[in-house]
Amino acid sequence: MTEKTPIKIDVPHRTDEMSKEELNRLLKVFYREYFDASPMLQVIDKETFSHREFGFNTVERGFMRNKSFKAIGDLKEFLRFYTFLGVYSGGVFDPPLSSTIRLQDTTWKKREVVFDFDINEYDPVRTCGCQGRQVCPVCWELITDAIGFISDTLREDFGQNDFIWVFTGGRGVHCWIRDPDWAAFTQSQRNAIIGYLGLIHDPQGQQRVDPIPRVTIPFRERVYNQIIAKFIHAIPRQALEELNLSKNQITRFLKKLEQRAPYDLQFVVSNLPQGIEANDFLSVAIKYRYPRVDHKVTIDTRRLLRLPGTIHGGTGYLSTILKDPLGFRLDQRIHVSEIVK
Amino acid sequence: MTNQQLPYWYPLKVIEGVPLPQENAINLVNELLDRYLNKRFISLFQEYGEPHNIYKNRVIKELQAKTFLRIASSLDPRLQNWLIENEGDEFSFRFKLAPFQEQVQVIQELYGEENVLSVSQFELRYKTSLNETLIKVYSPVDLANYGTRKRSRQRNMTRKTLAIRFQFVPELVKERKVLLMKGYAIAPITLFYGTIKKKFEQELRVLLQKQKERAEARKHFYEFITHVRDHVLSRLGESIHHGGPFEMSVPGAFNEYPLFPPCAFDLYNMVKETGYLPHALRVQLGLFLKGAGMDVETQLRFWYENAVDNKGFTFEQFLQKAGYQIRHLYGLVGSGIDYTPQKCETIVDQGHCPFRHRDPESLKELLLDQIRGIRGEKPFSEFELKQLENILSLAMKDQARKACSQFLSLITEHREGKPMVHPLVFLRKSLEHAGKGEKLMGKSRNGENKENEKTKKPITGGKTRND
Repeated sequence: MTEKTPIKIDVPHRTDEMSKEELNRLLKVFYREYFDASPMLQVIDKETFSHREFGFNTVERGFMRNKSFKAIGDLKEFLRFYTFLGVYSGGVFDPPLSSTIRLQDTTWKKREVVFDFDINEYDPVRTCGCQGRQVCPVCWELITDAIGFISDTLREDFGQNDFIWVFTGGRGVHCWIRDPDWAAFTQSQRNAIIGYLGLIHDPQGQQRVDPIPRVTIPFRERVYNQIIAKFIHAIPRQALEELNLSKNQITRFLKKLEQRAPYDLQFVVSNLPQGIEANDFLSVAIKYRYPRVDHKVTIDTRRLLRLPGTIHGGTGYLSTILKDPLGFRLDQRIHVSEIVK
Repeated sequence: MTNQQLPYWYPLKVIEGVPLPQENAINLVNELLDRYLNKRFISLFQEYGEPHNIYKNRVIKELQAKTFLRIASSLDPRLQNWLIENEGDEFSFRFKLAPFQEQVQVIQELYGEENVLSVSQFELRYKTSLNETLIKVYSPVDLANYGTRKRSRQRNMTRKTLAIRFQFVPELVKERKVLLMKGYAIAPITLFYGTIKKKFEQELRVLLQKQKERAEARKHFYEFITHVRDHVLSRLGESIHHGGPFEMSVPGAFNEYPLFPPCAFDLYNMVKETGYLPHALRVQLGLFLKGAGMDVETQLRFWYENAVDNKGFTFEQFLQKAGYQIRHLYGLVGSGIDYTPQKCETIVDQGHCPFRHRDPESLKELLLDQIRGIRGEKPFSEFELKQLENILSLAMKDQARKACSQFLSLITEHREGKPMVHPLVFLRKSLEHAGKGEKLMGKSRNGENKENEKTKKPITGGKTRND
């Protein structure tokens, strides 16, 4: 079958079943007794820990940032005070931020380059029925595809092998680049990376797709072999409707593909319904499957980002480093209720 | 790469022990000024048969003149900008004419030897062959440069191709104008010309700052060099002011953003969409908005609310950091210069001109977007589509200002003959056509108009931006 029938799988969102009070109690116990700083130290380095900005979202005092700690023990001690809905790290500053040294009194030194992929960025093209906070194994595939594509692009195009994928505990993943040279990149350099990677503009609005110039042949071939190849083997009706095809045209086209299976891109393009240009079809394919990275997260050199090893206060799930990013499934998420006895 | 190995024509080559004869300073500087004012750049290559000692004397004479002029210019920001522009143009002139090996030496000096590889070095390091890929990728672009005979094109292709670490050529990477492999941007050297020129200008700016500090530390020399500066300023006069006269400003027009020239329209969209622009383009857009009548308070608020790097700052904190740079554009702090918007020539060369810097597809999308913004979804006539094709064709032939002028013709339905000279000229004419020109220009220049009052928000601190 060419088109996948959307299957809404009920993945229980355990925090919905749990009262806020109970979740807050678990969070408090977690940070007092179970918090382990070692995942965090896989993405931020120990040497500059004392100069790192931290931010927190707490039940008692709301959002706080511009905090630094002399040692990891001090951070752990601080985490015993409040009920933390989020623990974040920012940039490295010299001198370190404090109650007397504010952002305008200090100099930014570095901040890891991070790519953020949230499933809700794909809302305009999710065909499984999920929207916003909802996520299911069907639409999670989009995140998995993003992981594969971005990993290959980082290695082959950017020559970067030192990166880690982290499940945020919410609706997506972060890719942390651990290379210290990259951490010192200016906004202009970060913008260059994002500009190169970003093919979809105005993702929540017009969703204009960039043409891929022939000069970036390896990148273009990767788009064809990974992104478009996936698309053509599960073409959603919704995507074909965007090409202004009638219901009958869509049905006939999909049937032709089904009868020919297995098929390649060339077959699909040469059998497009009349009036549909190959470029338009490819644009739609990119719109539906290409990784949607939040460029602001990458460009912002002082962005606060959730740390692995901490709990997402909205969902109760642990933010975890993915040992097998391409094999990660939603049922592998760890809820705080499973950690706190 | 030692400084000794650099070619003598390279303006930042250090030659030890060169005397600076103060009694001859004005004469030396005058010769250099004459050249720059008339845009008579010289290559400073050793001529065929020229004895080395004579050649070296020529080099030293130029270095003496440049040193005096640089130190004098470092004492005045307007002079400094003028000098950097002219030295940059001359450097570019020489660089393009220089033998490839010398070009590589200079590039390695600017970026660091470890960040620049020849094709053979890249192939050896990564055990790959680039020739086929390069021919596939660059062949149509380089037909003009490398001849039409396939064999000569193939042979030449890798000979003048370089691999530079991608982080040093961010604009080329962002626009996907280069082949990117293993962290290197690989392209014929011609594609790197603009970036290399900018890098040279950055290094020159750093040198000028150091020279300024050294001069200020030596009282007698400082008095002497101030005299040289005054002499240069009196010779240059109005030549050092960039952009058009300030009376080109169009008060209140900053709200009419679909009527902006495409350069400002594109930058405005980028800020709104991504929250980010590189520094030079922020200056370009900031000066344009100022020329379009945006007062300093409104512009402060604009950048605070739209730029991504203000998150976590209160408005007060923002005022102390980036706010200073914006007030600088208005001449309210620092040198006190009331900067004017950049002219088209400067923008095409050093800023962002979509007709120059965008590829055909994305340029077309931009222009269509802008037209829709002006007149809605009204369909295009055949004549208009043909006009658009002509505009794109002019852009691809590197006639950016002419293309811009044609675009103005398209949206105003009024024939524009001459190439565009200034973004504010475009704005004024597009406003006039839209019937808004008189209404806006009837207001005063100092922000005392209803449009400005509406958008003016009181400056308050305390609340942090955390969206």
